[in-house]
Amino acid sequence: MSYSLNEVEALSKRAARGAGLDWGLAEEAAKATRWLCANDLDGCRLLKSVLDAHQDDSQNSQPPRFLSGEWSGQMGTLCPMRSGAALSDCAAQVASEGVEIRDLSNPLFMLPFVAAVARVTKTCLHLAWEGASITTDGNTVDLTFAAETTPYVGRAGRLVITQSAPLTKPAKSLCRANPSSQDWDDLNTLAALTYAPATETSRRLGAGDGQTDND
Amino acid sequence: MTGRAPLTVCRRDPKRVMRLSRLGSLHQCRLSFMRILTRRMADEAWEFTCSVFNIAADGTGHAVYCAKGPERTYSLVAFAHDLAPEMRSDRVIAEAWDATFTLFDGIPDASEIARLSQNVPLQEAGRVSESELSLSRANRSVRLWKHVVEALAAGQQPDPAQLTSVGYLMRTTAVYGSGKFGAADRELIADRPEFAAPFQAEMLSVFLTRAFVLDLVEHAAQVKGGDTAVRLDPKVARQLGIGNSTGLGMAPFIVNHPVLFNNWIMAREEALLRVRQVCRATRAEVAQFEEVLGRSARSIAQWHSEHPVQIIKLDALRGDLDALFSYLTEHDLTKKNYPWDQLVRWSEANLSEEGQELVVSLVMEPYGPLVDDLSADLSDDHSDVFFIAGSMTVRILKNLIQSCFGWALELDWSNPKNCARAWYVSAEKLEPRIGSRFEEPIEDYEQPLAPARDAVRAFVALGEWDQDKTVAEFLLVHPEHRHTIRRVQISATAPYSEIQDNTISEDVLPIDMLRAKLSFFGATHFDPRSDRWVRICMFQGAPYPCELTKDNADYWVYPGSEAGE
Repeated sequence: MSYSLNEVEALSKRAARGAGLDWGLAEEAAKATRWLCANDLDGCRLLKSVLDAHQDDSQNSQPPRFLSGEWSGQMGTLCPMRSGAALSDCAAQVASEGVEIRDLSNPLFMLPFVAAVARVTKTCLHLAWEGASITTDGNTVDLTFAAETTPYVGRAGRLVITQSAPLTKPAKSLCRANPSSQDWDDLNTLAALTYAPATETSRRLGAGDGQTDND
Repeated sequence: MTGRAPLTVCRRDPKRVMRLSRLGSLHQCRLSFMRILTRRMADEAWEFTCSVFNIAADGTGHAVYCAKGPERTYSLVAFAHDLAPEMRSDRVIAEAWDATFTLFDGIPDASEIARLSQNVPLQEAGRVSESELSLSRANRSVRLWKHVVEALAAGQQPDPAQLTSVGYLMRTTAVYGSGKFGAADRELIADRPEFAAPFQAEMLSVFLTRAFVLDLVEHAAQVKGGDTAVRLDPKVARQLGIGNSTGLGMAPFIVNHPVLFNNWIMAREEALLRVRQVCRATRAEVAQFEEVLGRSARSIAQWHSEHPVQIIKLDALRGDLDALFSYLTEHDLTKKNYPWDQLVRWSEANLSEEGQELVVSLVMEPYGPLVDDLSADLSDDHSDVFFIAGSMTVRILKNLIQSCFGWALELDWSNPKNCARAWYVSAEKLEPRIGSRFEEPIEDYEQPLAPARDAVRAFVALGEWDQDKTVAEFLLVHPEHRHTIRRVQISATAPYSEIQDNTISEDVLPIDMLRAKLSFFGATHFDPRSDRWVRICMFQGAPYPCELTKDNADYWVYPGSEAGE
């Protein structure tokens, strides 16, 4: 089924929150998922994978220890959401000096954050990991993946972000997303964790007692 | 004369404007979304047709109403249903309605009508596509519907008193837009001039819905009365709007869209400032103000509510009107310097918040050329404010919190009264709700709709940090404050982005938030039915699509319009 990008963003935010992310990160995860879908990438599949990693084992979803030098976790794999958020917080530094990140899960989920940095700093950035080479100015994306690799690889040993020459191809974005029904259902299951179970009080008072609505 | 004077006043202080009691006293104005729509359609000479009216004798079927603008045509596709009385509920949680609607982008063909007929009547349980710009439904006012059908069928006009007491034949219970249930995202249509201002597609759908409802009631009377039946007198028809019941679903909107809400309030405040800076008012301008004031007083006379809070506010407002008329008798505004500024200052000293905000809305009326261009600033389509400025120092961030939420830093947040409520989404209905934090098991599900409390929490955490560290470093350790810090940074450039009140206090009235939003739609006759939902009327007094001209496109909101009573 085709979904609007607002539906993708709204569900992604709830799912990310349901998976235990703080609200601010959930908002950014939702915008990232929407951006991926608008650029013809399977954002819902990636978000699902990122949230699974986040829930499974906190060792697999670390924030970077420091924001200088090579970025790495205390121990275990870096979370692309925490790393992506940190990346956007250091936009000027990233755009001018680039950054190297070691041991990151779901590396493609970094792309929307790199794109946001490119857009805000008005630069063109290159993002690479083994088998993947991506250039973006924030609105346009040029992706190259080696034949034997998938864009949706679960982990990258080393990810490098550098400045690049401007892109020449025109921007093209989609206005609908077509996630697999399984991913959509899984995100809905996570989102449901944010809904308060109904109680007698909430049924009676939650939306406002009051006068009849028929006349 | 509308010459600009040296700056003697500035825009009103957000700390006063953004209090909930004042936001809950806002009135429609020239920048309201319904009036922006009717002005544009009249200026551009839009053409309206009913291309299909396939309604059977039992009142069921479908109809299509087309609105043709300079470049594009939009079609309201309406489905009329036979709803059992016990199924009729205005709550957003209802599952069946008297009529259901979608605004189609273009002119639908038979296959599209067939697709929509399978989905639109189901509302939330169906799916629409990127060809649809809205999804909505409406229920009859059973009482008035029956009376009007019976009167018209018998060849008579309905009783004016009954029309006035209800004000509409149908009321919508939700008008969904922007990507909801599969519809087109706002981003898809935001670059069309006709949809540049907020909620124009939704307003257009309601404007056309009103035409359908009139045709439907006349059809029902025709079926019942045959040759005896008459049509509704156009002047009488014009006094019927479309009702709307709005509940808590709308309240979080103004918190969740801080930049957009800032832009609405900023435009209104800027319009007020421009009018206050008018050095001398002409006799014609003063006369126009006095005319809309008089007509507004008539509208207010017809505004009824049974809610104790609104009854008190209405009483005060009626007293304010008397005081205003006295002021105008005693002061010749054409002889004063900065007459509107003086009037606003006088109102601040002498009127209730309802009256003060009415004055703000009304003083803009003679000054369309001075303020109407602000309608271009109401949207938020190109901002990158979502991005956190991580290089900001902790010191500067703390200063920002102090300047935006200083009052909240003084509040004792450990006092249960100050955090008695919590906003949540219910599993049963997937709708926003507000509950009692200490009496219901909802805190774990709390939505981030208490920006002031959260700002205080961030401020406390920041207090333990070296003032020269960066926000990026702070957030690496404290991701739980990201949403708050984003808002605080937004407030630096958007002074009206934050409600300057406690949205989780024991005595918070969600209807204040509803009214703030609905006033920008252009709604009138706010009638709170509890502290959590409100009835309003839309397009009451407006010309019907086929009657729309430049002469009647703007001031219809005030009874006794140009078309004359």
